[in-house]
Amino acid sequence: MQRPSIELPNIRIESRAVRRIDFWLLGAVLFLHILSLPLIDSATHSAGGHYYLKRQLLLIAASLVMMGLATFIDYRDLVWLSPWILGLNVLLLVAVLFIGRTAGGSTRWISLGFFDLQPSELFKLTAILFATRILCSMDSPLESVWPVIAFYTWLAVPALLILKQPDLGTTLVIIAIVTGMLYFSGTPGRTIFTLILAGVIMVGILLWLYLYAGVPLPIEEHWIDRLVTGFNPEKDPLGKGYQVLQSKIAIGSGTLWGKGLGKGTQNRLDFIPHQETDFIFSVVGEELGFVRTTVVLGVYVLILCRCLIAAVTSADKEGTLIAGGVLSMLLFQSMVNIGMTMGIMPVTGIPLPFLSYGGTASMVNSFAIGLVLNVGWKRHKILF
Amino acid sequence: MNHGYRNRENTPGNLPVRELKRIRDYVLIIVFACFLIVIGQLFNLQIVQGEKYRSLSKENYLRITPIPAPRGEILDRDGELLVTSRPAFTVFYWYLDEKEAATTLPHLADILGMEPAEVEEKVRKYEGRYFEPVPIARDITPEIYTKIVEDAPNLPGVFIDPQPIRYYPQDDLLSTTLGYVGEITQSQLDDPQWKDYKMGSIVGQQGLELYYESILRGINGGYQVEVDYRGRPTGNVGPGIDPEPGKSIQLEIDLDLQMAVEEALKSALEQNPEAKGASAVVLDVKTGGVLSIASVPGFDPNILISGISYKDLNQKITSGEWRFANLAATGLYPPGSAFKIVTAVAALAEGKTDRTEEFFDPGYHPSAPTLICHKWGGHGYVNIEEALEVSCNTYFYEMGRRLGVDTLAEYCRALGLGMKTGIDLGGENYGTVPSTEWKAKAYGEGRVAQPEFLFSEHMMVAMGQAFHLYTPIQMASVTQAVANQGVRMRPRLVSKILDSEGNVVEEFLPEVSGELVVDPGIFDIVKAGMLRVTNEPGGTAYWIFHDCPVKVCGKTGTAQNPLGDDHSWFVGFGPYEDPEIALAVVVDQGGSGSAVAAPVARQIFDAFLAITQPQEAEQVIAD
Repeated sequence: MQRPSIELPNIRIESRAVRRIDFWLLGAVLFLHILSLPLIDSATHSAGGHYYLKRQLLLIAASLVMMGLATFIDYRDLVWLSPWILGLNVLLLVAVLFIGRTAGGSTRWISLGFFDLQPSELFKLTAILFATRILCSMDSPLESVWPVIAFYTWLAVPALLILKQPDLGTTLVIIAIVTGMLYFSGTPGRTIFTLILAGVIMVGILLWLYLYAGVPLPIEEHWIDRLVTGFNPEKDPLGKGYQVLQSKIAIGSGTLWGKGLGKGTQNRLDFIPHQETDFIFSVVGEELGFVRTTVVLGVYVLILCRCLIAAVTSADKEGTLIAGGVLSMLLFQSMVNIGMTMGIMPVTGIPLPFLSYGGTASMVNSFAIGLVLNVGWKRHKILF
Repeated sequence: MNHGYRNRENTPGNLPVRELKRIRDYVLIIVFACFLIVIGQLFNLQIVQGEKYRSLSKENYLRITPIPAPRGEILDRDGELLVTSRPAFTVFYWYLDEKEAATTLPHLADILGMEPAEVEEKVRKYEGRYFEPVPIARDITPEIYTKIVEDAPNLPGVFIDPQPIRYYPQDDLLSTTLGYVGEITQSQLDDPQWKDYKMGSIVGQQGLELYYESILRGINGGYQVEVDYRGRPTGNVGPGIDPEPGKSIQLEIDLDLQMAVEEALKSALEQNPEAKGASAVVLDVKTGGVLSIASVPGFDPNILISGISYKDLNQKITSGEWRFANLAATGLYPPGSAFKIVTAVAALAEGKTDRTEEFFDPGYHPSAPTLICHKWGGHGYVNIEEALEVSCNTYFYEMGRRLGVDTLAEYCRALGLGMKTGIDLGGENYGTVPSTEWKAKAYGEGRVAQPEFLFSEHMMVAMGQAFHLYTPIQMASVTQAVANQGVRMRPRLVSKILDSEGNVVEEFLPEVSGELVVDPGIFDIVKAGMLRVTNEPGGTAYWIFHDCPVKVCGKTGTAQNPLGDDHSWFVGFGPYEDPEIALAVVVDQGGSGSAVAAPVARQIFDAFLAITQPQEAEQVIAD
């Protein structure tokens, strides 16, 4: 079974040097994992005993296992199994309704004793695998709007389950993943653009109905608050805008060279709520400064580019879609998260991949990177 | 493995290479565009606005805790402490946010036993300056201290710091002169004179505490403290500046004499319940040093500054238990017969009479029979010394007729009447020296009364009635000038400024504030007349002073008061041979000068003697 390889003029594939695994991608992810250690330790110093540091170390170790697993299982097997995975994941989401652990006003976790499983995070992977399966079963790409909308329908039940937790952020990430994958499957850009536009208009109409027509819709008040104050934290500096304003102060006060690791006053003195999870980027900005933060952003760009290369050079359509899905997920999450800490995106509770503290998310992201490594590796394996 | 989901076998099913390249290019553009926006905002926050955010972050976590400079002490002439400071626990509040304040402040008020509104008002005054701790309560009791410390988790932002608090070891002694300290008032803050003071500063509010504020205050220090997001100090202390202690002042006041003076005044008030107050000034004849200055009732500054409620304060003032005014410097009284000393000096200096001239007093003045003498039937023939001895009104009516009010006014001013004596104490009053010009101005231009000086008024002013209004310190100063052959010394309370180690930084030397240059013999005549007041059986204060171990020159006064009972005066100096102290005593609405003020003066002279010549005083007591 000989598969044609794709030779792109400006992306040179040196199979000998690469030695099957994309070390750039692996190195970049390891770099962020290592960087997360002092940042999380610094952000959680008040807990004492380096509790979070130790947990993060364990999480990284577990994540690396996950990454290895994802790299060496044939991703096509996972795609083949994806209906079962979807079913299992939906069951878990339903289970959350009944036995879920509640924290910060939302019920998202299933407690496993040593570890809190977050099925909504898992669903990101499930969505990638299942969407790959559907898109690969089609003869030709979905080109017009209505078939694309029809394609989204399988997401309805899990997305509603996640929204109910409530977890708007993850719902948006999943929509972003699937939309990105549609593009990689060959759906024309203008169709996707039309859809995004239609989505925005629909959200606008729903908001209008809720706010001005009094239609009872399952909208959480704080989503709207966050949307408004996320961009204008100065309007309510001690209330809803407090977190974003403090985050902006933290990042801005880092100036060119930062205050040094563990020396950020905004971070150390706990001026920023959730600084170890959703607002870890404010610690990066404050303690590392503009130059080093730009380097960190560069590492994210590197990861995204490696995913892109894996996607466009994949030996098969499954690989292209999986790598494209992972790319969409990472791009959307990092943009929304970083943008939120700097006041140019609404606050939506999306963690920053690889740097934020969070068990399931770490595993999921690492597994996703493993899949991309897998895609790249398969290509070389075939080339040899 | 069976990839059953695939429709086509052995085909990759992927998009054509051209298509993939297009996708790659667009995705690259999207990725870079996103990151350019992010880096742009990062640049904006960290580089463009970096300084602003750096200072905002500093405001977040750096607070200045002021270290108040120890305020200088006030000592008497022998170094006895009159005013000092002691450490006291003060409750401060660091404002964190509205929500926290809404729960913390009522809780704190409850512990302190204050009204929540009162506490909130104190905090609200610091709006916009919340990086400074707000003092809520000073000098708390150990019980409250324990309560706050134990309840600390429910009182975020509240902390206790030992702060020096003013302490007056002699309680109400000398209170109206020493004054008191208190939190700077809003009107003071608005005054450019107080521009380097911050809200919440403790400053002098009256008397010497106010007059010498700039010397006593010192320079506050402070240190930077790091606080967490709830405003709690983290224990990290930044650089600090040590405070520079204020300088101390040493007074001319003699504590023992002051005690005797106030005791005498208080007993006079007790014996004359109708009297409204009493004051006395004792001056060093040679230097002008104020050996004692008293105004009773005063107030207890210790009770006042430890936080007395408005209700209690009001009660104390309206009941007459406390009075803040220093009557010795601000009280204005008609001098009555005590003024006859001035008339005597003027008449002799102007040559209107001499030592030997005898004037017949039939009990009234022949030119104005309505002007009567206090003795029915008159004193008969009296010369100037005898006129002073018996305080003959008729004799001085005649001198007034001869002098005229305007000539008399010149002597008044030359002896320092109607002007501030220049004592280093704020709030001194000018008083009123009557003259034709003054009366034309005061009563002229459409006013009801007569703007011209009447014939009888010229005569009346000569015996201290009609229009004169002087402060006790002015009268003491006049007496001092007469005792000192016309050389008037500026009354001084403070003799030295000392640094915190007790070294003399500045010394105030005696200062001449005016001199009446006349034939020295004139003063001898007046002194001889004043000696007769206390040493001749006909003298108005003979029965008070006849057994006094020192020869005292004096003059009583019973000043008619259109508003109530007569004011009781005594002015005098002693010893006669070489005068050391001069004094003025006034009992506000105390009645007769010889019955009320003179005994106070006698007690003062006795106390003075006991201090300066202990053996002699003991001898007298033994006799």
